[in-house]
Amino acid sequence: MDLLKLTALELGEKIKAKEVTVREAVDAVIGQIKEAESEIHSFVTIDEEGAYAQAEEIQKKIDVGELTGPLAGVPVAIKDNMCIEGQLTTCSSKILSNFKPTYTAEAVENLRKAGAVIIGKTNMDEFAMGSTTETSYYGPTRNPHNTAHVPGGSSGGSCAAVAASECYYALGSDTGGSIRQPSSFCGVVGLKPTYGTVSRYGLIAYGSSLDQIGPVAKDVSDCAAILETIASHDPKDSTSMDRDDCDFTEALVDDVKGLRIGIPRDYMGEGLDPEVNDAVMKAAKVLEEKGAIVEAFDLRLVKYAIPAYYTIADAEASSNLERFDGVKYGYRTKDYDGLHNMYKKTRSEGFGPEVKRRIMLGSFVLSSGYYDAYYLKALRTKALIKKEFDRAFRNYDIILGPAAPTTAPELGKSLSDPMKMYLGDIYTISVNLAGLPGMSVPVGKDSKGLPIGMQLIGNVFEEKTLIRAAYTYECATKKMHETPANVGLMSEKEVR
Amino acid sequence: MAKQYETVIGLEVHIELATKTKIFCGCSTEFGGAPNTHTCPVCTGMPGSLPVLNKQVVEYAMAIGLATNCKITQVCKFDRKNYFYPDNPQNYQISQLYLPIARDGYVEIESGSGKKKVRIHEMHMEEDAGKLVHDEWMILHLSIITEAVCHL
Repeated sequence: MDLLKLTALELGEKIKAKEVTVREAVDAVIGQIKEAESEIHSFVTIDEEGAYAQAEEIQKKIDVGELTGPLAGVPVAIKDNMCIEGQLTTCSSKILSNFKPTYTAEAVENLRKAGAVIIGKTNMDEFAMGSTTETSYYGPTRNPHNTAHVPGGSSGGSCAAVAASECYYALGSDTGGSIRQPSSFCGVVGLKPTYGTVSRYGLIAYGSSLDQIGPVAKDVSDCAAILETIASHDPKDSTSMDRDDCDFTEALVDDVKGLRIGIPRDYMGEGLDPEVNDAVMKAAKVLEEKGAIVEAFDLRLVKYAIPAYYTIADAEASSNLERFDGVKYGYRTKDYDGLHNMYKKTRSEGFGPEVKRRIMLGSFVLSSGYYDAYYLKALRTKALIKKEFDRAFRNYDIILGPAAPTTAPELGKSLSDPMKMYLGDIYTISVNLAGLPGMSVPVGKDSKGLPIGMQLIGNVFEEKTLIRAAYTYECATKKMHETPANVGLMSEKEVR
Repeated sequence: MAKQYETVIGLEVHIELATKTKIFCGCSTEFGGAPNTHTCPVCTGMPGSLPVLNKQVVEYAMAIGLATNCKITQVCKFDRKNYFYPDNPQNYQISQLYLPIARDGYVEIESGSGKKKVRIHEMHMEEDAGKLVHDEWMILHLSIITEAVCHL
């Protein structure tokens, strides 16, 4: 049996049935990491020793019936912006290159309680600022489908690790598309939940009003099970919602009869790669054939989402990142002359260029005299975008479109033109501004063999509607199990 | 020359509220504990931690607001005051700039020329800047700002 071919739920079932031990599961992913990591570089930290220690402990708990959940014993990777007590948590930044938190993030704690084996921390764009994972202090992650291409970002390490079978699932975070876009580029299933569904306690903040943790998975069923595990009401996060509808696996139903799906014309126009357009429209057709009502409509205000997003996210980031000053933890410059010089040199040396750019933009839009002109105007735009989505959801249950305008670009092609990179977020960021759930589902590949993702957007708290539609699509196409395959790397070695 | 200048004074009064725990976390406000026993990721400003407002602070603030004839703000919010200084581990102070908890009140005092009203401009809740002893950070206080009406 090739363990790496299993989904997280399939593996969990086999562990429960005593067909596979937790140790064997860890062996499988550690073996795969050793094979693939030199080419892919999904991880900042691989905790081999810790993984085996956890495996032993979890196996005991499974054996005595203490752990019975569907993910017990299944290896997971965590994006490196979520705190784990005593474990390096870097945000892929030099400034946190030696930072070991004193506590564990709530979402990770929820996984621990469910018996997850945490095998390591995944690479990301520095402080989640970027769309390619190239802004990482630790160097870029490569796309497992074609290592000349980026995996997307900022959760590129998490998505590449799942696509390359270096773990069975992963946690990512999404501030403007950071789960959905790399999921699309890597051919995996990624979901950004409604704001407030997963606790942000222990997630190192980028844009606090936009950040959400979510699952990265091999298929829709895994995605639902992971979300069910990490979603919780957390009194330590004032924006955490007390939801009583977190039984997301209940929505794994192969039926979309009567489901109203709207495709925004504004998402299918200029700038969209024709191959992405075709694949997404074909996927919509599949859902239509399964009984959904599909039609086009206008969502005009989304074109203002990019300027509004970069104003709000950068403003919040400039404040959130002030604490990294070299005083209590993290990198501190070697030579300095007095306190303020120490701050200045530490931050100049500790942050990379993209992070500095966003801190400067954010400080500018918040500065006196510009606050009303930029920041407040962006907040008003955000409110208008939310209203426009509210209107759309009066007519539709789901908004369907692409997750990104293109497939994964080649390494080194994006950072030289940040404006172009920002424009690549066009389909995902309005979802964060409106606090909505969004999901990326693989719907095929382009002529170069690079995956294409369809994005499903739901009204607030409608994750189940997204999961149902995605599951129905998956059942109709049976594609999902093949898409995460690490084609380039693994077909050679005939692992898959 | 005699009446060219008039001295006008406004006061900013900081009041430490007698709550059991700090303003944004559950740590004790008691003075004199063993080192690092009254701290947590929130009040040490650790990355990823989040503030949760102490309900008692709001109740005390409203009580003082009513006692000083203020209008209580029905929808109020916090703002960050950003500055780099080590009296504060996040390098911003959580305070209230736009919608403070109470506004437009007054207190009456006895003066040489009889009773006098000192008008209160606003009252806002904020975390206290630390005394550069890490344990002390995030004790809360209430800031009462008077109008500049204390003619001397």
